[in-house]
Amino acid sequence: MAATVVVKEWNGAGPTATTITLGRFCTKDMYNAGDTFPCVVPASSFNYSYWKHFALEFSGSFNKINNIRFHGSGNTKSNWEMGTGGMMMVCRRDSGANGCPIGDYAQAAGVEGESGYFVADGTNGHPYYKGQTVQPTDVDTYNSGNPLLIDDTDITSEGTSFATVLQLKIAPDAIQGEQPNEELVWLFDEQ
Amino acid sequence: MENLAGGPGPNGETTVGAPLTRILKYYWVRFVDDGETVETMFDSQTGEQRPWDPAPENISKVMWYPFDGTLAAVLAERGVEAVPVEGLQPITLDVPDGTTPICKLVGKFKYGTYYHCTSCGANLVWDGSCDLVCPVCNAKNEWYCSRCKEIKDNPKFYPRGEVRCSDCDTEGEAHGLERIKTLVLESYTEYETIYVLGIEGHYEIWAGEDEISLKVAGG
Repeated sequence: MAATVVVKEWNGAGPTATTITLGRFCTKDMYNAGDTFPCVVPASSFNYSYWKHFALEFSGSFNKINNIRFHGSGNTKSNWEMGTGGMMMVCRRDSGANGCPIGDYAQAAGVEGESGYFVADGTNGHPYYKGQTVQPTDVDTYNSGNPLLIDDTDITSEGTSFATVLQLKIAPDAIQGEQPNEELVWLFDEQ
Repeated sequence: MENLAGGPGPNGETTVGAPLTRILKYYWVRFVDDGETVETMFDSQTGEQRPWDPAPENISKVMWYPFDGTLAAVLAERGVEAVPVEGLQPITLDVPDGTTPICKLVGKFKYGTYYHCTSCGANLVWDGSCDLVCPVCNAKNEWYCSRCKEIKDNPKFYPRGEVRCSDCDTEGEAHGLERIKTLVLESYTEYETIYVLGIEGHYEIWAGEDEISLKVAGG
């Protein structure tokens, strides 16, 4: 009856799930690239980070966990100065929960060290999202009073939630370098 | 910029990246409108948890009630972490006739970052309203050019993480800069339990660690 929770990042072909001790958007499919493979401000158009899958993993003993929702600080776009039209994007589905089941995971790809593929790109995008009518949207759309539904299944034993899929969109007038601190928040009903 | 004592997390957490476990301070108690039936979230003898559903239709009052030491000890035997908190008051909701109460636990899992100063050991949250500088010892991250042999304030960023000295670039000499990193990015996680009471279709009261908020049904 006491749920234990960690947040995991999924990477690789498998995927491999790594408990996050330092999540970092970058331009390679890897957990915490450190200062290598940073996001790059483009000369024109937009660059993207490689997309990230973040999922909650529950263990211990509990009856039921469901209704997993997500929001950010509400100020990510301005805090991180990602330029005109730049933002942290969260992926959505046309109906139902917006998270990605582990069976629908897709490895992030792009041009390493330069830009990831846009997650909704018709050719190279994430298969679970690229055919959707709704586009990925600004994380700042969602806050504590209006979180995004990620997973509506009942989790009744140890396991993982659907993943929140995030990607940075970076404009030519973005500011390169260290960025202010930010928070990601997940809410879930417990029994 | 906020200077935060303790560590490694900004609030002194010691479980960065480690699994976080729910710790309860309250359990629910519901009173049925027959003047005698009272039901609780846990069996006081065995510690067994009872589900909220199915709930009786004629509930007159619902409470989140603080644990006492005896019940907390019974739950500990079953691996449920509950803590008695001295002076903690019950949260009570009178249920109007013809309405349905809401009573649930909401888990709030937060992942966030902060900067750690390797020079003086301070932890700080940087909101971007000023330069990233340690508020205790004024240390900051800098770029050093080994060709010019000086700190550079105007680096040029290139793809694949390459950073060059703009002065050397101007002279036609492509020269990479070295990062002197005194303020390093770290992260923390928090797991908070929120106790929710409300009336279906009308409102919910969320009682968390630091705040109580009211959520009104949309319309």
